[in-house]
Amino acid sequence: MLKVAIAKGRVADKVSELLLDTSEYRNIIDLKSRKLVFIDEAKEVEFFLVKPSDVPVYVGSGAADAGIVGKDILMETQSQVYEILDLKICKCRMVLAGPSEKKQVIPIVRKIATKYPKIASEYFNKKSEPVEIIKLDGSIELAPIVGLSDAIVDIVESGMTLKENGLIVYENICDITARMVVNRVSYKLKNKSINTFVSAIRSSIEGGDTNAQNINMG
Amino acid sequence: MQSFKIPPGMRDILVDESSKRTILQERLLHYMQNCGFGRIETPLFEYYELFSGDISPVDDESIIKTIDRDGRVVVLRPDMTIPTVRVAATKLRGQQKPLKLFYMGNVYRADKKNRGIGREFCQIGAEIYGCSGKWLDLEIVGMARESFREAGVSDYKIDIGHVGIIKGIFEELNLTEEKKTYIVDLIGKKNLVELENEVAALPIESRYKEIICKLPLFFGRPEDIFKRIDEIIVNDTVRKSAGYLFEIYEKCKDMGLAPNLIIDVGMMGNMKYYTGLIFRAYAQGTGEVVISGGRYDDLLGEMGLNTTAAGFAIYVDSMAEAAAIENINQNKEPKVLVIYSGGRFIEALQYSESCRKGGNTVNLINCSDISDLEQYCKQYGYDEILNFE
Repeated sequence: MLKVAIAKGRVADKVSELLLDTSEYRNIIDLKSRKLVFIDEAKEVEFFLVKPSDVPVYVGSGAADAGIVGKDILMETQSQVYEILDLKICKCRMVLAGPSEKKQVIPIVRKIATKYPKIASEYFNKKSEPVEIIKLDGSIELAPIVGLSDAIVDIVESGMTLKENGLIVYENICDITARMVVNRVSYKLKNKSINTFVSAIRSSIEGGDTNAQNINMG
Repeated sequence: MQSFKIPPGMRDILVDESSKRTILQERLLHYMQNCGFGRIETPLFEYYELFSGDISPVDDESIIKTIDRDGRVVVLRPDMTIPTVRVAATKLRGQQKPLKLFYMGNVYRADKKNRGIGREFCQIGAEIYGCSGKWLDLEIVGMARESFREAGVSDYKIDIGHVGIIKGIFEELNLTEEKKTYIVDLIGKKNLVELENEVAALPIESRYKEIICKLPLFFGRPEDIFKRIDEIIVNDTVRKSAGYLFEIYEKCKDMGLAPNLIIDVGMMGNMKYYTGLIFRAYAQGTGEVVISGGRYDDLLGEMGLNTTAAGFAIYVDSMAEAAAIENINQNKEPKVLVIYSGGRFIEALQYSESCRKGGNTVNLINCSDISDLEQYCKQYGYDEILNFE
C-alpha cells in the first residue's frame, strides 16, 4: 500500500485536479466529501489530507511514504526526506512586505512578523541586517497594520490580500511551488510504486508522455 | 503536588518494552562476543574536540554541549564509533592487528526541530581495525545480516554504495570545495529539484551534468545497476570503485545475500569521513535506518594510527520496532508468585531461592501486602501461586 500525504487547501485542490488526468489515480480523492482518508485497495494506494506543516512529519517518520506540500513548509521545517519532484503548481512567492506609506522614522532594528521564522531569519542573515523576528500563526497581514511589526515575511499569490490591507511587496525572497517528498526508506523499498505515482503526476503536469529515467525495483 | 516530568525528547522505558529490548540487546551482544570481538565501554561525556574535527560523522548542530568547571566544552557523545577509535588509537594502540571491538551505549543528538533537550538512541555496534580489502567490508555486511537474524527480522534490505564513485566523478570537475560539498550533499539527500537547478548553472560539460543528475536515481537491484554502470564511469577512480562494489556484490551473492541487496551509487555520508564502502540497512515496516556503516580508513590516520577501519552501528530501538512488527519470540519462562505469612517466611525464602537457582522467576511477597491477589496476578502475568501461609 502506497501512502501519500497531501497538504490540505490549495495543494490538495490542485493535486486532485492533476490526478483526474491520470488513468491510474482518477477517482480516488473526493474533496467534496468530509473524509480525510481515501483508499483504493485495488490500486494499492492511500491518500490522506493533512495540515501542510504536518506533511513533512508524516513523511519523515514513514507514516506516509510520500507527500505533496509547498516548498515554503519544506524550507521552514527541514526534515529528513528526499525531495524528488517539483510539481510546478500552486505557484506563489515568499516576499518581504509592509505598509505602502513611507514611515517617518525607520527603526534600526526592524520588527518582522512571520509564520516562517527560519526562512525570514536566514534571509536577513544573508543581507546582514539585524531584525527582530516575531512568530505568528496566521493573518500575518494584521501585524504591521496594528503596529505589532514594521513588516512581514509571508507568501503571496495574486497580491490581492496585501493590497486590500494597504500593504505592498518590498522585496522578493524566493519562488514557491508544490513539491513531492518521499521517505528515505520507502524510496528504496517501495521504489516501483513511488515511481509509478511520480510518472503519472509528471505526465499529468506536462500533459504528455515523459521518459521516466527511474530504475524499477523488483 | 509537583509534577515529575522528564526533559522533552527523553523517555522512560518500562517493564515490558524494557524486557523485550534487553532480550534483543543480549542476543546482539552475545553474537558479537561469539565472533571473537572484544567489548569496550567508553564514557558518556567526551571532549568536544573529538567530534568537532573535519572528519566527523555527526554535524555540529546535532551535538549536545556543556561546559565543565575548567571552561572546556564537554559533550554528550553523539556517536560511538569515534570514541572507539579514540581507544584503539590510544589505550589499545599496542594491540596486535586485526583488532575487533564492539560496544553498546546510548548516544545523544540535539533535537533540531522541537525544543527538546535532544534524543537518546541506544546503539550496538562493532569496529574492525587492520583488515585488508574487501574481506573487511564483507565481514561487516555479513554481521549486519546476522544481526537481523538474531533480532528475528527476516524482511530487510541492505543498501550499499561506494563513496569513491561520487568522489571520482568530482575529480574531473573544476569546482570550488564549497560548491563540491554543496552538490554532493544534494546528491546524498536526493534533492532532485535543487540538484537540477544547481547543476544547470555549473560551468561543466553537459555530459557531467547528466551524470550528476542521474546519481540520486541510480539505485536498485544489483543486476540492473551493474548492467548500466558504464554510464557513469568517467575515470579510473570511478572504475575501481565500481569494480570493487561489483566484487562485493559477487561475494554477497555467494553468501546468499543477493535478494536483500540494493545498490545505490548515489549514497553519500559525510564526504570526508567515509573512504570506501558505505551501507544502510532497513527493515520493512519501520521508516528509519536500522543499521548504518562503512569504511573510514582516514580517521585513524588523523589520530596517529595508520590502519584500515570499518564498522557499523545498529539502532537498537529501530531494530526492536522492526522485531516487534515481525513478533520477536520471547521465551516465556514460568512466573511463580510465592505468598507467605510471617511465620513461614524462612521456609518461603528458601523455597524461592532454590526455585530461582533452577531458572524460574519467583516473586516473594508477604500476604498482607497484596490486597487483590487475582488482579495482581493478572497484571503481572503469574502462572502459578504458592502459598506459605
